[in-house]
Amino acid sequence: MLKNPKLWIAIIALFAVGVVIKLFFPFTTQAVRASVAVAPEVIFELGSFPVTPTILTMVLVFILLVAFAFFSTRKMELVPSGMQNVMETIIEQLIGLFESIAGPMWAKFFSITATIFLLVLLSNYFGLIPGAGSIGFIKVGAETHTDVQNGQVCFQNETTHACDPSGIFVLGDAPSFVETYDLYTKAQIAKGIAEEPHAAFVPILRAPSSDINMPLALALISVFMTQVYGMQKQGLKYWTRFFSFGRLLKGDIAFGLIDVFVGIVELISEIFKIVSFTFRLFGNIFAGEVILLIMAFLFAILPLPFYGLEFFVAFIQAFVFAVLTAAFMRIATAEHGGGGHEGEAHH
Amino acid sequence: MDAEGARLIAAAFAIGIAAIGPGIGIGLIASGALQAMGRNPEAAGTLTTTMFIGIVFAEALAIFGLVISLLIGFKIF
Amino acid sequence: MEKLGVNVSWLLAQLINFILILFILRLLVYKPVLNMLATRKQKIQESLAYAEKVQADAANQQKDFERKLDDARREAQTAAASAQQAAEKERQRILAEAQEEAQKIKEAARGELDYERKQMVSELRQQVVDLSVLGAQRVIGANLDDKKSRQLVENFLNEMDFGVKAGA
Repeated sequence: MLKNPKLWIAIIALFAVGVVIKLFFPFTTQAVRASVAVAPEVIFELGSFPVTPTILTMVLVFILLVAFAFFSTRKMELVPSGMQNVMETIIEQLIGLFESIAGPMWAKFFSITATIFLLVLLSNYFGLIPGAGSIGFIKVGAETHTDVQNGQVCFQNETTHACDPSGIFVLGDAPSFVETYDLYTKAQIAKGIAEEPHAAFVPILRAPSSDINMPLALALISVFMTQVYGMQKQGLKYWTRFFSFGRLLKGDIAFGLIDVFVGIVELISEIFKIVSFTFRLFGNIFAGEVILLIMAFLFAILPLPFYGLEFFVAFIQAFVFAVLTAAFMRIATAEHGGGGHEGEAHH
Repeated sequence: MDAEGARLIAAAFAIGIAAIGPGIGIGLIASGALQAMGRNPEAAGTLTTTMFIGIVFAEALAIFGLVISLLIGFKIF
Repeated sequence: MEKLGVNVSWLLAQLINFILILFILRLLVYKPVLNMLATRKQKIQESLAYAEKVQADAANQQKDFERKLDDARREAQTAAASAQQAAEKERQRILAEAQEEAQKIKEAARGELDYERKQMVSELRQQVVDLSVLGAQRVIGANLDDKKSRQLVENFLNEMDFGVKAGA
């Protein structure tokens, strides 16, 4: 690979482009601060529902997924071709995966786990589309003056004034704004980071998984459905996994207390599953987004290896979310009810 | 040192220290999985899946560190 | 929680979104695709079984054919062998006949030769007897009793024994 001269030329050209960009457009890393917000920014309000970039992207993911599902299965044929082939390959791979994890029960969990996988995968990849997270608006708060009279969107505070006819800014496009923001924060630094930034960069698209609500929703569904399946399989006996007073009531104090304690630990770990599911996905994708932005503002081709890493991470997180859901569901439906912490130890 | 500086240092330390243990753990898991795959290449498929699940559990600790770091950094408590 | 971005309306939106996608995918993808996979599996199994049957049939036919071919070959072989045998026998017979014939001819020739020789011997003897008798007559001058003298010579000749007895 390294012997390929074309590759070397490409790398050197990229470096040259990076140097030129760096020389003529001296962006600062300060711009990153504007876009890294844990809570997603509101683009506009739909009725009383605030629409964020992540919600917008989620709608895109939804449309894409449904369109793909619709067109790939519109006319099913015994000898598959085209999109049907792709869809069937995906489904077959997922079947193989979940069959190896959930055993003979896979068919029961399949729709939930497969949907989680596809949704998370597409959500993660939407955040990696060039432009997602870096093309957007500058939203101005109350203290800045917005001027839309002469067909331009402007914002202004004590020190700077920036206008754009479209109102669409590319991140790093408005150094004056960045400086404003920088000054603003510097002025506020004694009181800590500006509590209410009055101007913020709002991207149009952002990975839905970098909004904590989406992983949280999936985690809630995953854990909730795990309980449902456990109860379907074992009936009320399932709850002895968490509340096992059987031996205590029989008079066996020592082992009874151990059982109760194990049940409590199990209950806590079950609740903590929601937290770990949520923050695993959110943390990975959000951190990936931040790293890509920081690298983008450091040097031109620096994000490239990280982009590859994020591409891999995006897949792994989707895989892990679905596989863990399947594994937990299998543990919940396994016959032995109160098994202590073995679920986590096994898998 | 003012409170803001202390906060940023705390946030950095929270994730920095939390990453050490999982880093070692993931390395051990991957090395064990690779050895197992080397000995028994037919089982590579299942081993990969199990390895990822193991890595995820080790990684969860780093994620908790990240969460704490975010909570501190964004002044949530 | 609020600062992390957790918001009830967004959370509900994501939940509804997931459930919607779940049902749509279930309706559009999972059920038909799983059904299709099952159908295809069954179809493949059927066609495999059919192919196996056809193959077995073909193998049977092949075996049958080979057996028939074998039979025919063996038959041809036996026919050829018997023909050869018959030819050999015929040859032997002809040879034997020819030999016999030759023998017969030889024998006949020998017999004739023998006969002629005997004849010649007996003739010779006759002449010898006649000549002796004549000579003796001349020598003695007397007319020997023909019969007696003849007997005499005859005896003498017998005593001399030329090895060939008259009529032997």
